Amino acid sequence: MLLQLSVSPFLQGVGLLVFSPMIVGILRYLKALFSSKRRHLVTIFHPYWYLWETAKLPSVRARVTSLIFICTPIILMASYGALIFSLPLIFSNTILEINLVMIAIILGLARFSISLAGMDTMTSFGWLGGSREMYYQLITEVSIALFLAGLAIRSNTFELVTLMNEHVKLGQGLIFQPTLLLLSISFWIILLFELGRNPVGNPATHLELTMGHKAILLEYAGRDLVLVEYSEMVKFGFLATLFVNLFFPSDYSLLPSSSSWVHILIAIFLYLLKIVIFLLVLTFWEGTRPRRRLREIIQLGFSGMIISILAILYGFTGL
Amino acid sequence: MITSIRFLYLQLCFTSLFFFLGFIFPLLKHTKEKNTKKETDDLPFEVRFSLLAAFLGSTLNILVSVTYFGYWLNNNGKIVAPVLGPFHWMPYLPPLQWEARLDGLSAFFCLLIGFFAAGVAIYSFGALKAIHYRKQSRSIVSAFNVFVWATLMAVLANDVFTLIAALEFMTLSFGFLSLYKHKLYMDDDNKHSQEQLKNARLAPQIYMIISHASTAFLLLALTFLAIQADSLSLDVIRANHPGKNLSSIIFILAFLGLGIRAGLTPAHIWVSLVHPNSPTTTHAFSLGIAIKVAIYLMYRFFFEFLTPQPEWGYLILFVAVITALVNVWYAIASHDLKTALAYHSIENVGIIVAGIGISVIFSSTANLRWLSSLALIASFYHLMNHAIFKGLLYLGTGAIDNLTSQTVEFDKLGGLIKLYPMTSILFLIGSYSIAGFPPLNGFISEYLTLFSVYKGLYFLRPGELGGTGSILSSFLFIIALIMLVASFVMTAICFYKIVGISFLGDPRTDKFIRDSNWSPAGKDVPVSMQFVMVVFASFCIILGIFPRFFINTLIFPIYAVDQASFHLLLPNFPIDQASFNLIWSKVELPMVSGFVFVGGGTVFIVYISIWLINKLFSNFPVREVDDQVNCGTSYRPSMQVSSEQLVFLIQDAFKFFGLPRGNLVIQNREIMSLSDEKVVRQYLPSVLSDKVVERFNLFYNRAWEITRKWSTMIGCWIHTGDIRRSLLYILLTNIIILFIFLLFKDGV
Repeated sequence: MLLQLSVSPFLQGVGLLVFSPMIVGILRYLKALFSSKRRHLVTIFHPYWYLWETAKLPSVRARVTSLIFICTPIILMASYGALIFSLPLIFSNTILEINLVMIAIILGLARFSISLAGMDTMTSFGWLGGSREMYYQLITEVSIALFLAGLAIRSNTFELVTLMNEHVKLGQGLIFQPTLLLLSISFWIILLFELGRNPVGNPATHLELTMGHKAILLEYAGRDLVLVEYSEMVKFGFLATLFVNLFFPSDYSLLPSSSSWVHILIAIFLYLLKIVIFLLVLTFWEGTRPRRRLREIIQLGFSGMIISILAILYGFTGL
Repeated sequence: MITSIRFLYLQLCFTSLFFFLGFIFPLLKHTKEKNTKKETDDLPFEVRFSLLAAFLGSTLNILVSVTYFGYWLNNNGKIVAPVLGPFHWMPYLPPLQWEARLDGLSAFFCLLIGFFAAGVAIYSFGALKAIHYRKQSRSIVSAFNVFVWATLMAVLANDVFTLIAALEFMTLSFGFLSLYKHKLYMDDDNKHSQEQLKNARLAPQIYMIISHASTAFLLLALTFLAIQADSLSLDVIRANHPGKNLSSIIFILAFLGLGIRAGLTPAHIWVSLVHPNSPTTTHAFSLGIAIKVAIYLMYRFFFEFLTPQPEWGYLILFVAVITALVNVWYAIASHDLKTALAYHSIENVGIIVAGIGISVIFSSTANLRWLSSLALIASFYHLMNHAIFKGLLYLGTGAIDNLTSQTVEFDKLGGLIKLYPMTSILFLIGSYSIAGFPPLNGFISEYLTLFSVYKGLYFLRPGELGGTGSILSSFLFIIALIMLVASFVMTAICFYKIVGISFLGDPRTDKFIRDSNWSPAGKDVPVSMQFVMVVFASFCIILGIFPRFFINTLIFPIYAVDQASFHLLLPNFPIDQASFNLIWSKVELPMVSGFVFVGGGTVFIVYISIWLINKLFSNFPVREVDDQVNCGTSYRPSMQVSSEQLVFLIQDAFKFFGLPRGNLVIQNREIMSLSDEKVVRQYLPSVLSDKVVERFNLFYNRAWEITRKWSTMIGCWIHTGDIRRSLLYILLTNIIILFIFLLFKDGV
């Protein structure tokens, strides 16, 4: 039992680290299914295969690049790794305690570093992707600030575990909370910006019109590329899990460390179910939405901010 | 008690002695200069002597302040702030006495000032060897000594007269330093643009005008206080708070005076004009810490001399966040390193003052003392952090300035990280810190400021707190929050631009210019300069990873002096032991070291596994190539992005504020219809941000024109040249002053 107590926070972090590429794989599978591209139907294990094959290749570094180009993948992995180990997946105790402000700042750190790496190569693609990333950063962080203001007015805490506990206590009444409903929509828009999904970007294409941070990655190869790509997958897994656990928690998302194996299995099953539903919704969203022009994207950000302000107004009424 | 007074006496005597020697020696002695233009030559003896004197004087102050904090820790907060004086300046003139006082706040500022002055003194041993400082090195070190001495005296002064005199000494010495560029342009043979010459000429004038405007308001506020307390001693003023109406008048006057001096928004234009024209060696001192003397006086005025009222807090907060946003906007649009950093200084002053504002708002609410304390601690900590990372950035700029022979424009730099790796990496640490990312120090204080805004938002809900909060106050807070967060993010964007353009990629200057003017690749600045920068950079890291230690040992003692009697004097002051204990139970300060450890561990495991795969299945781990992916064409350094293109999108996003960016659609159409190359270049993105004019500058110009017109008219009407008329005016002025004195003598 003692072993379980000390190992469980570590295990759930490692589990999410291992599982994250599969989340991306499931999304790719669903998207291929949705757009009925049968010949592109890939297995859900495709990302693992991709990482494995890329890891065998040598890293290519141009003459222009400097220390920053080499360090950036490491900074990315370190930031997402720290985030992963502070997220309650099924157990309530984690290695690190984290609040939502900290999450926003660490995501910003990763973004700043990858943008600098784009400047380091000094290709046309590098700075283009970097400046777009920083532009998204401006919209995202202000949206997150307002989202957090909505949460602050409601519950006066940003501690992730405390917030999740509060939401678990609401139980069935969760969907009758207008503040939380609006905040979840706002968080969805933030998620689109953070992950670069449609209509903000399209990670599947390599066109300069649609590329955000993918444009920066063009210069990476081999070992470095594996680290960057893997950390992007980890980021996807982290944000997806954060979304489903924060807004759709169940009794089984905050288990104590000493719970029985049956409960743990049920918790894992429920978590997988929630993730798959989340991915289905994302697939539907991406499949039915056109990609917007770069200057029109700010309108999406503004709509997110206005939804947050509406949530704040509802918060004043005490609902 | 007695020993601590002697201590202060010795401190004042020796500090003054050292700085006086440092001031007078370069003026008296003048060693003959060998007529060589090599950088390896040593500095003249008197310059080295003067720098050594400055170093010793500032080290003495560091020691005194450290001893003060040590006393506090050992005696459990039981030492009294020693007051020296009053001494008479001249016998039989009672009002002109001087007093000095060393309390927690003074000790905190003495520590920072001493640290910075010592750093700059060591740095100058290497930096002043550069050719462009050659002719003026004596006057620079002489004025620097006076500047540091005056800053220390302003912090230690305990009476109105000494305070104003010290501020005037600061003004004069820094005004002299800002003459540097003008003298340089007069001396050297190179051709300079008309605008550079004009700016160099304008800088000292503008600085004098603006400082004296500030002093005028401050003098008025202090006069009101002195009349009300019937003494010039600040201790008596502390004990006698004026009534509510008079307090508000004094607050407005003090806020105007100090705001102009600190550079809050309507008055921010002087900073970016004056500071790039002063020598780069003293930048770290002047913008890092000397500008914060105004903020030191804000703490004194708003919490000690006056009883803070919540309405003032909203004014302070709002001006502060507007300052932050406006200045970071102009920093993004600026063209060179020095101007951008000057704007960033003011942005950070805005963040510091925002903390004061929040503290004032909640200082009178009994059960929210802890929130007021939190905001004030955030403000103090950001003051210290900003001083340190901005000091590092300025020292880095000075190094680049020396290495590239005064080339600091973004579009002429590039690739510095490969030419001069040490300086560049230290600058990079400063950039990560100012952009507010963990594990560096800028992050902690911005986090605390943000947290106090969020907590304030929660407690200002309408209906809570017996009706203190309303929809209006909440929305004011939300707007402040948006502006604050936007300025944090835009700082990151600006440093993305600065670092990306000037340190990464390839140099944008031609190779033959670089070979003749720039320092050769790999030959970095002297060890003395590198040492100071390394010290500052390591403090950036230490202050970020162990924030609790520094807050407990340096910031809490500021107002922990003599708790009991202190609170009799200042019942409204927010920090006390009880509220301090409450803070850490209410605010989650992140365990930065934990994050570093876990993140590092993850990287280690992942990297090891990837390395293993690579080792087992591949023969070539890393391949070096000449060119990067560039879509078929071979790469040339001239293909690199310009600084304006990089922030194109950000400038576009702010179009709706009316900040000019140029109407792109129309311009594109015009470019398409024109074939003349000259006209096309006029519309290319590289010149677009020239159109981001200082709206405030335009406003001041217009205001100046109107004032000049009207004052000429009125002056012609009043001053006819008749002596009787002038005597009548003097009589009338005296009567009015007498009337005001009688009116305010008993308080309002």
